[in-house]
Amino acid sequence: MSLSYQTEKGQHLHSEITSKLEGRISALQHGIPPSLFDHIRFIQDSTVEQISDTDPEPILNDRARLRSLFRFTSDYLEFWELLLSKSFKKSWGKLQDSLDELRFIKRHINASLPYFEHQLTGLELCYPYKLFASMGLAYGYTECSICTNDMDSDDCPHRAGELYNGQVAFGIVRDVISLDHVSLVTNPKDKRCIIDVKESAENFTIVDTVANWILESSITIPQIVGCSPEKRIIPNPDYKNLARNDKCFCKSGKKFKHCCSTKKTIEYEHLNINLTHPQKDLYMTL
Amino acid sequence: MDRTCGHISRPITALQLPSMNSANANDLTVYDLAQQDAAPQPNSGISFPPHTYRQSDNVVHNELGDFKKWIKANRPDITLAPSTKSNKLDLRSGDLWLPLAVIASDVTIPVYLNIVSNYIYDRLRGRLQTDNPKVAFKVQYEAKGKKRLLSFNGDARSFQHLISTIDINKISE
Repeated sequence: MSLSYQTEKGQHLHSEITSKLEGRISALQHGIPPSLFDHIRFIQDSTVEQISDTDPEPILNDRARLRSLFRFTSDYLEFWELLLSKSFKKSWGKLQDSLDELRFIKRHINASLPYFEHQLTGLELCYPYKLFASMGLAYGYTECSICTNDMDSDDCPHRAGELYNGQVAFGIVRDVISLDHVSLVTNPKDKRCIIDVKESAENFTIVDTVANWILESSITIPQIVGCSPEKRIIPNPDYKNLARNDKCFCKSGKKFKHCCSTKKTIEYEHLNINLTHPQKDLYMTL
Repeated sequence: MDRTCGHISRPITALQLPSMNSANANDLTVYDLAQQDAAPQPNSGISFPPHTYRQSDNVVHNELGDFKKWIKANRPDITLAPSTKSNKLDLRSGDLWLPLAVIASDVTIPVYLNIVSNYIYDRLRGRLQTDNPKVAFKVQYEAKGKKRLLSFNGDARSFQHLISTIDINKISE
């Protein structure tokens, strides 16, 4: 799979930057050293930020691509910092920022980061947010962030999400006419639109457990390679083996034979946190 | 309700296609349209007429602008009817809602499905493995003098399999 850099300089800087960032992230253990952000900033300043704003468009576009690697790294580290400090709600926001950067990297650099993708999408499952708010609205037009023209008109040559002179084009909604509805959906445009739950450990049991494992040094951050949900069957703790015509133990009023006689076991959702052996490679193919 | 869906007669083809995540089947349905319910057909190419959505009249899905730019860049041979001034409808879900299209006789239904398939492929670049967007679109076309409406609502990823799975002749007849 070839990367999408438009210039040799971009390609060269990609290799240099990713090897440096990979070294920093793979060294993570049970927390985020505060100096790490300064190191990352130093790497960025000494590489990508050497590219001038007056350089030709292909180089500026490559700079935007390279900057996304740093944005991802910072978001990723901030996510872990927030999770380990038990700021679960804020950590969800940073998790979404990290995933958005992964999408950008995939789309604009054509680079796949399977280790991070599996780890972060797996951790997404550990949060209690399953339903999201999504609104439907009618509006007049979309203003282009690059040329300010109506993005849907022939006057605007830009496509949302694409790079132009190092800038990502996006549309700004103008002249909102009506907010038609708000829906609860499982697949929103923006997973930051959460249905709020109280930030207590009991609502965030799984992420709280993951944070504790790391803080107690039971595991390290790079060891987490993903999560996999599975259905498990356990004995039903309420089950009572009654006579067929007895009233059911669940107090439904029905006869046992017509109610819970088959519910000797129950099925529940189980989430495996998948860990790799500490000595194994982290598959950090940035 | 879209204008073209207001008084639909019986569906003439309803295919349940296997879903990638097996949670939901993909629905592809072809309806006969009464002449008075059909949107005006362009002389050539594709038009995207505005429609009504719940309380909002004269709207087009906000994906229309990008879709048209993509067609112009990738299929310059296809004529696109100029759009009338319409408001935009933004359903802020992670799913892909393509605008209602009306195709003239020079754009066959297989050609349009191919355009949609390639556009979806382009829009899915950068999605993560766990992103599983749905895609919904409707296209009005004419077959043997009858106006028909093809409606699809299903997995975006498995849409690419659609063209090889369905019997195009069956819906083109």
